[in-house]
Amino acid sequence: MSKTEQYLVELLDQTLDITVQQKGTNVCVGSDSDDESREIKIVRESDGVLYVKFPNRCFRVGMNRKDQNTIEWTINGITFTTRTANKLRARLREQGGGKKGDSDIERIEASIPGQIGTIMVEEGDQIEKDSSILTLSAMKLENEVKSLTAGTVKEIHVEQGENVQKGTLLAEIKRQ
Amino acid sequence: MTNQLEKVLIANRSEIAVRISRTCQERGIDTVAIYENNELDRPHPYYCDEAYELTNNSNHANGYMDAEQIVRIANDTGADAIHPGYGFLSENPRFPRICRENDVHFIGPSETAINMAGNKMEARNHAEQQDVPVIPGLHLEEPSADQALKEAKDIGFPLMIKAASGGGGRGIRIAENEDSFQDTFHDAKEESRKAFDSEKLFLERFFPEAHHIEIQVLGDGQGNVIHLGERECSIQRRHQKLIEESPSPFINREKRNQIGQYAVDLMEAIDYEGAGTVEFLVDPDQNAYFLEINPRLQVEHPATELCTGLDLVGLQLEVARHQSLPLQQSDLIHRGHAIECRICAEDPYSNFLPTAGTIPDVSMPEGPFVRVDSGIQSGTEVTTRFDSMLAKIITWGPSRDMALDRMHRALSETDITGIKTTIPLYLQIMNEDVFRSGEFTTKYLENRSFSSPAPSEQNQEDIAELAARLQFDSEHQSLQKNHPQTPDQKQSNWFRSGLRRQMSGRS
Repeated sequence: MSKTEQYLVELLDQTLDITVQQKGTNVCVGSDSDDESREIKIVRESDGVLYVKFPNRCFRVGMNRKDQNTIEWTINGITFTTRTANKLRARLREQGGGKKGDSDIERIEASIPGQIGTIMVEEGDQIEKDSSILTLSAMKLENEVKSLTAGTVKEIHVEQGENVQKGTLLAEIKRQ
Repeated sequence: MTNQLEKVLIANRSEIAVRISRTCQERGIDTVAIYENNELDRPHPYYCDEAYELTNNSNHANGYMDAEQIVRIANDTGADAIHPGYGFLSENPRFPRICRENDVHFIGPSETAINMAGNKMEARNHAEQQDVPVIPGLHLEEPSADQALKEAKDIGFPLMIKAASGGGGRGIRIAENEDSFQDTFHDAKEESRKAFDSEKLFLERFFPEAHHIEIQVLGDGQGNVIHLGERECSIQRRHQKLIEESPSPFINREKRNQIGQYAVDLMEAIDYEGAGTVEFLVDPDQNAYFLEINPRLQVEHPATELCTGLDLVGLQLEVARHQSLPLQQSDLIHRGHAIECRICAEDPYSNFLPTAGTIPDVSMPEGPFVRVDSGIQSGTEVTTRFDSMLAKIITWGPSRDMALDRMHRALSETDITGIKTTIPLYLQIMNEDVFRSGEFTTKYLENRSFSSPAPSEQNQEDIAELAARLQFDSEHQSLQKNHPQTPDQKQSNWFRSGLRRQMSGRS
């Protein structure tokens, strides 16, 4: 029994084309840049850590599933995410008219619990990447919360002086 | 009260509570931990023989500040001494008093010493009396511009003009030279008048680039004080230390002995008891100026322990038993080089923004010449309620380069999942030229911008393929399920969570 799927994996600023093939109990993976595919063996996964065996090395990596397609990885203290799409399904969706999801909206959430200080933007403002949106105070420190993308401020969900929990939606930015 | 300690209550939390308990255990002394109600995911309650939960009291920011309650717990459990650690009540002169009134020995200096250390002006006067240099400066009551300029010339430029009534960083201005002094002086005076209704100003020499160097001392409370060498603590953010090392790569032997003697003179004059630190600012020409006395054990004490072979907590316990110092200045051997990195729950690439969250898994470094003092374990939830420091990693080497190489290796082994920490920045600093050269000052982090490092190409490629593989597994989980060698209970979490999501219809 053999099954093959093709995926597009977004990682940092690149998108990789990767083929996964299951042959019996083995699962082999190959990048478009590779000549050969190789076996990846999942040894164990527990408490957010994945132990993996590649043909040439054993690998331990922090893993946190954000949603069905997004994984946050931690290695040597560096955190980054991958977004994975099934190529075939993506094509089908495109052909189906390309319904736009919420992906053009950046949701800015509180990364720590704290109190809202100054709000520096108004709804409708055009902002650049890294623009300060507001300040969030925690442990006597003022932290500037910045936009990761350029765009338009769609909605601000908090008021000055408001205490917020970690993960509270602060603002939404419509990407350019 | 006998002078034998049998049971010590540790009035602190996290790594320092664990560290103090370890020395007590080695010496057959029982330990008592205290903790707040949501701290059972922390290691320190488990490292002590007894542990008691602190009751919330709205008069205190947290339970560790509640001196009365802590002493009551000590009395109830029959502890004969309290170790304050650092922070919290360690520098509160009320605490040793309340301990004494309740027949519990306070492991640390006297109320008088703590009082003096806590009063900046008093400490400065004390230093001047002992002929220890202080940063040139003076108070001006109702200064005229001419008078102020005359004083300013004596102090030297650049200098800082500050509203004498202002606290913290308020109303501080820097005059770069004589020419700009008049304008700066005028502005500072106006601002002080408007903000504080006072024209009183404080002038002090300003050192834009300086070293923060401190001397570890130990006293027996009977006038005998020795120093255990210095620590260089110039790598700071927001005036708080991140990396410390001993010895300082900046000062020479002569300067080291001079500053050490300054520290001994200051502490002998107040019959200092226990471990303490005298902090100095050292300018680029190696002139040292007294900054302050820290009347307690410090976060960075392990750097000194690794180079001297001495257990500072153990020595604290010995002098607390009214023993005289077990060693003399001439017995001290300072060997090799030690460096400490404070692992903090902060994002070093986003202005050191505090991070919070649960740490599902921790893996700390091991191996030759690596010491770890940690306040976290797998499952610990990090909040912004307390200081952001999670753990300390300390390495030793016969040379500075070897200690730094070992630190780099140890940091590479460390895995703290779930939250961002300062580790990637430290990995960069260990290989950075200016840091390696030892020519850095307290402006080190301000003067350069480190950016978030990318994972290696090998790791990127492997993780991309791994992501595809996991996606494949979640799309083809029925195959996994039928796999005879994978019984249900052995299914991994990612598989189960993928399955749950699909059954509940969430995407």
